[in-house]
Amino acid sequence: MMAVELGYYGLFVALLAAAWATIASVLAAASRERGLQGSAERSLVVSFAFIVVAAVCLEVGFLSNDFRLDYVFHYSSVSQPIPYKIGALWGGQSGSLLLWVMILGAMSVIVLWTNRRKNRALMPGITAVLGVVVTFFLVLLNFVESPFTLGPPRSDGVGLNPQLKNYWMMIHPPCLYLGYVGFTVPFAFAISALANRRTGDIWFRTTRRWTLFSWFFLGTGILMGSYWAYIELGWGGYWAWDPVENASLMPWLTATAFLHSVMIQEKKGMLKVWNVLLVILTFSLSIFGTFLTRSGIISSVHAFATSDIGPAFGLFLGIVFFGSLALVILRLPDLKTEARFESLVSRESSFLFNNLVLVGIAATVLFLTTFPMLSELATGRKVTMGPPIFNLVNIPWALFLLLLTGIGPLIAWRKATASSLRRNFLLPCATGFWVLLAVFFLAPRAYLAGVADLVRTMASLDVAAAFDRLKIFYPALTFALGAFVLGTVALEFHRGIRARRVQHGESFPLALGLLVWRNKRRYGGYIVHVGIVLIFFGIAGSAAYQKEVVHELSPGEVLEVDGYQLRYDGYRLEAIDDHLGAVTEVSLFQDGRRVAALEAEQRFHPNMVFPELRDAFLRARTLSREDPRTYQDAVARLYALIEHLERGAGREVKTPSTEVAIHASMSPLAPTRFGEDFYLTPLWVDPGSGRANFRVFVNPMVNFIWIGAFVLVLGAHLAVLPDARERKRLAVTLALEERAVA
Amino acid sequence: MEKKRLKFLLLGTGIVATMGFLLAVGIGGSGGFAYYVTVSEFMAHGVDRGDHFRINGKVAEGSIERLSTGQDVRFVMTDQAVSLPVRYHGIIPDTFVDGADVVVEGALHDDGVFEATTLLAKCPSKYEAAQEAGGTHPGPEAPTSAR
Repeated sequence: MMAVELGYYGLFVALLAAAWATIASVLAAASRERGLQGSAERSLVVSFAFIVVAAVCLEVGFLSNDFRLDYVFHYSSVSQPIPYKIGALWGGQSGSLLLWVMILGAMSVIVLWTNRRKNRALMPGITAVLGVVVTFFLVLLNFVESPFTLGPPRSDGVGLNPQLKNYWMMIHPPCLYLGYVGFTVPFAFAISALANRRTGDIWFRTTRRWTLFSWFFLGTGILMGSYWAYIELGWGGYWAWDPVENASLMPWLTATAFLHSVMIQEKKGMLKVWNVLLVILTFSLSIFGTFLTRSGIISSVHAFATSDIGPAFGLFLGIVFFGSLALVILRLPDLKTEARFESLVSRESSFLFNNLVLVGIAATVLFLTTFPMLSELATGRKVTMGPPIFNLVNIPWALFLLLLTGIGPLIAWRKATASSLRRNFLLPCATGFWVLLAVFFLAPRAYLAGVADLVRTMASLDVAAAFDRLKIFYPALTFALGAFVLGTVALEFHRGIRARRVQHGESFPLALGLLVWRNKRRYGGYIVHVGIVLIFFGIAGSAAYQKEVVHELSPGEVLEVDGYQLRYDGYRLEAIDDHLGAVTEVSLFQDGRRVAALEAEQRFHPNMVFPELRDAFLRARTLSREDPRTYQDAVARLYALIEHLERGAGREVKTPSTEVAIHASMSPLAPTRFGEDFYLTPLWVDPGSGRANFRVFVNPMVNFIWIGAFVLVLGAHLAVLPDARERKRLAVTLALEERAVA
Repeated sequence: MEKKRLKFLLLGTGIVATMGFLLAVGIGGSGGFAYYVTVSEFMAHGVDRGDHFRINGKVAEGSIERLSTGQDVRFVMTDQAVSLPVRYHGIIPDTFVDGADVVVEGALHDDGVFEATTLLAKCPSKYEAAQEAGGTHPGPEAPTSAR
């Protein structure tokens, strides 16, 4: 009982504290009063503490099955396993907001702690920005979407949707939030730097790790979401250009652009305005993403019940974006560049173009995602944009980006000479060329026909069709460009290792280890690039060469799919947890060799509102340990009962779901199949005869995406590790700045 | 110097322009373009049969007829005011149930049935119970009312 009140008032106290932190830090910024700033910082910590109290109280509600709480009622039930009770905190809207603000609170405290003795001039501004964002979310939590609203006493809850009861779905939202929220920190530093006219290196050097951290979590969050969709939803895909997916992709793209362009500012003092704009854009897009998905303004498969927080977010977003923009314009004189671009063939330019493309893709995605809204404003008719348009526009640019991934890190600063180009790119280019040839010779006729087709459509001046014809070359180009990038990375590693071995006489592994360890940022970055290339490979392979077969089989029959033989051995009925279902047992053969035993399931979740069905289901469930015959019969009768009830009630009394079975070929002995998934779902199973309709996907190379994700994680970890030399440089800059102020 | 700036400007505009061009081409003719309407709007407009539509509505209770292929379904879509029979062949999402919010994409067939090529049912992340017990009392007075 107490927990509910404590949580409710805790949120209110947190709001007051955050509001005071904002006011006090603004006053401190104006008056340079140290005491006020101290008070502001303490209030922000207090605010965080009370947010934690509220979150703990809500968790207590979940764990103690307090179903008077509407939120607990909706997302938990008595029978829900404990981990999912805990995870249900972010199963819905207000809990998600609570998690959002809790993460932000924690990050604010870390920022205050790590900067308690430095950046004193910037701190009031930073505290103010953090305070404003925390306050905004707390206002929503207190007055618009409280997680502590109460309903009548209820004995059991609705429970989390079965599809969300998945390990990946539990960690995917917090991961995304870490990413979204983390961008607040660089944003706060940037705004404070602008406001205080201290637009030197400090703001972005201090927050480099924060940016990388947020970028990393947003990226892995997106990948986890794709992985969940792939293994859980049974459609054989992982990305659909849904507005919610796009919402998370856009800030990730602009953050990627920022991570790159900030290096140019660090080394050359260029692109200063651009970098501040990118930080503002990234943070705004994070907020916009939340707005997009929460306001219901754009239809998405992710049904976010249209809620009252849309307008509030819209207003907040407007203030953040236009306010920051105004500040940038005001401070333009402080953001003068220290150097100019000298040549198109230089590292600066390659980074500039990489930025243009990244931001361009983000803008395209933004435009297409918001198109229904825009078209309604302009013409009164809502028009939606499907995946084909996204692919048509973005794939060519993604490929160009892949090319730049290879060029950027190796090309010389200022102006690359012909000899340096030859030295750095001859071998990688050759690698790419050979891969292109190899791919061509795998299917020469198809490619020749493709070229002829392309020429024909170009001749008829049908641009859209011509771009459509380009599609068949994309996979080959992806592999060639990817090989080029891998070539550049390999060359860099090779040179670095050779230099160390010659200079220090080190052994190969030692040289490799020290090379990476001494230059974590650089080599971490290369490893991230390798991960990205692998992800590109996975996308290209699985998108271009996916095979799909739908076929009906009786137990004992065999189906041949793309070199696999699938034997449907049999099935068994079951009634466990909250569902009944038919588990199909399938043996998978390759060249007469049995490679896997698969089990895929067609489930029904009975609607417990019908007492007859509920009782029969519970009875059947208890029989699971009895004689298998009786058990099977009892479940079979459930199917009959469902059919009977449906005829009587005139509606469905079950919710179907499917459990996918996946066999991944990861054996190096079969290189052509490496990374391939055999993906099986039963669409329908007859409980009497076992006759089943199977849908089979063969997804070549799809596992490269997940392997690439793993490599990316590794590289990002390396890049974010503390670096002694970097710290020393930052300390020197800070000391200089402090002296200048004093 | 000026020539150099011009080169950068040209290349930059080139990138942006091709992007815009691709966008225009894509919107014009890649098949992803669809009018987004509610069931009422769809029925009210004198619909051109050939046009591609995305319709948003609810599944009428009790209207789902699943064929035993596991990938064919007929149902009626409604938005309280009017209803529209729909036929769909393809993967049926697990979230497709009575009363669910759905979006179908396709065109009207000659027999008056909407032939959907895409069926989207709303994702469960914001899953609200259909059979909600009792009302809710949002607002700041909530905790006290529970004592």
